[in-house]
Amino acid sequence: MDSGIALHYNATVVTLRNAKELERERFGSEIMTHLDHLYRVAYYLVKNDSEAQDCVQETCARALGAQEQFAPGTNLKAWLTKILYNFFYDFYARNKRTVAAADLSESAGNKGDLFDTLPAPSPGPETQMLARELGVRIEAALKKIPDEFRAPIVLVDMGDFTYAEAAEILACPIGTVRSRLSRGRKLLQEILTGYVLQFGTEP
Amino acid sequence: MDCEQAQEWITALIDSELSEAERRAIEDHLAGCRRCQRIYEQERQIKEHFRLASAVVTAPAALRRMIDESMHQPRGWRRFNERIKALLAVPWIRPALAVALLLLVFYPLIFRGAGERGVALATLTTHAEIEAGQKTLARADDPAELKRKLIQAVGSRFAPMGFDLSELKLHPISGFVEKIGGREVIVTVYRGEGPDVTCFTFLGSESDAPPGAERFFDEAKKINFYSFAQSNIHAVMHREGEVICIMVSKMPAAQLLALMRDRARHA
Repeated sequence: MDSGIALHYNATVVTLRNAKELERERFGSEIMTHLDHLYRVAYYLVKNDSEAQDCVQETCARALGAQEQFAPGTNLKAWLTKILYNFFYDFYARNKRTVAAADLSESAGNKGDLFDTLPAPSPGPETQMLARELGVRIEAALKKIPDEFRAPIVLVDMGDFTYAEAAEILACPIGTVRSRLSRGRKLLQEILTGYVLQFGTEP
Repeated sequence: MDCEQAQEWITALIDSELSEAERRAIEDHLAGCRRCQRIYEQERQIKEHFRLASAVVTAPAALRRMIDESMHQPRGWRRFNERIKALLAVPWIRPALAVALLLLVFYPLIFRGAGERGVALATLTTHAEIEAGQKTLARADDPAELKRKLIQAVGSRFAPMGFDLSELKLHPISGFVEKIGGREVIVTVYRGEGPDVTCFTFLGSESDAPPGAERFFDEAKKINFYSFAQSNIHAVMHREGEVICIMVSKMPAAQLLALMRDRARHA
């Protein structure tokens, strides 16, 4: 009789554990679907591959460990990104000296009036090549602007987050996200001016 | 709305973050301001280019594999890992582990130091006790019989080295087997005129020589002799095969060494 109860009890425990395991497996797989996104965000935040990989690994480990804190049905991508951003902020951003925005323009000396030139769309066969080159330049330009401006650009332009989601991740008001985005894109424009002009004058 | 105010609205328009009324307001401004129109167009392009450029950035396959594997680790193993991590986070644990590891690594050395070095040095003490009459010696008149008994006492594993010291008027008068440092040592006592000579034989290696021993290599015999002493008692050690022989006496160190070099067999 006793052993019967014990057996039944053990079976229940095993079932519960399996259910938990399954839940965990499912959560892990769900996290994996956001891996490219997480890596992309990390890559543009920390500015190099190995640190980006560290960030993503840490994020996944923390997310798995904090599974019960995630409310099912809410935005997992945003939740993961917030974990990643917090890690990034704690380990990479906090102690770093930010570069003065005034020193950022690549062509500060010989800058013409940017607003006089409207970049034309370039649908030619060179488009792909130009896009790739532009990608390299954008990456370089992004690295030059301070974290506080870069983070909202990374989140909104690349992470496809809304202002509200970005504000939640960055733990700041929506208005701040909007003003930093505006300012950040202006900084990028200034840095990229030379290239954008060139890009724009392609026939 | 002036151009200064318009900048953030332009940004929000590009990101579709404006209400219907706000959108109409900024569009009205753009329709009448060529300068802001260009800003809008450039900002829109920056965003578009950035989206395109970033779309090709994907997680490296190795990273994906590593994370995937870590997620499929059994829960028990992951917990074990977490516990180890937590343990290592305790401030004093790392130095403590380092000390424990060092002790573990150097244990054989320390052990040898306490045990085996003791064999060589203990012979000095034993010799002093014999000379002081603190050890009862069973008189053996027949050296051959004494040797036979001693070999028997160590299970025939090895034989005591016998030396003819009659020139020095010294004769083997007694012998016994003693356990020193966990090893069986045959002790033979030579007595006559002048100071006693005690010969210790046991199975060992040259590493049994005490750390401070002075090594002397005999070119002709190809034998290492180790000389060491404590107060006025001197000892010379050498090896013949697996057998270590230590001769201990109060006679001067140089004389003892010369004696041993003379009597030791070729290796």
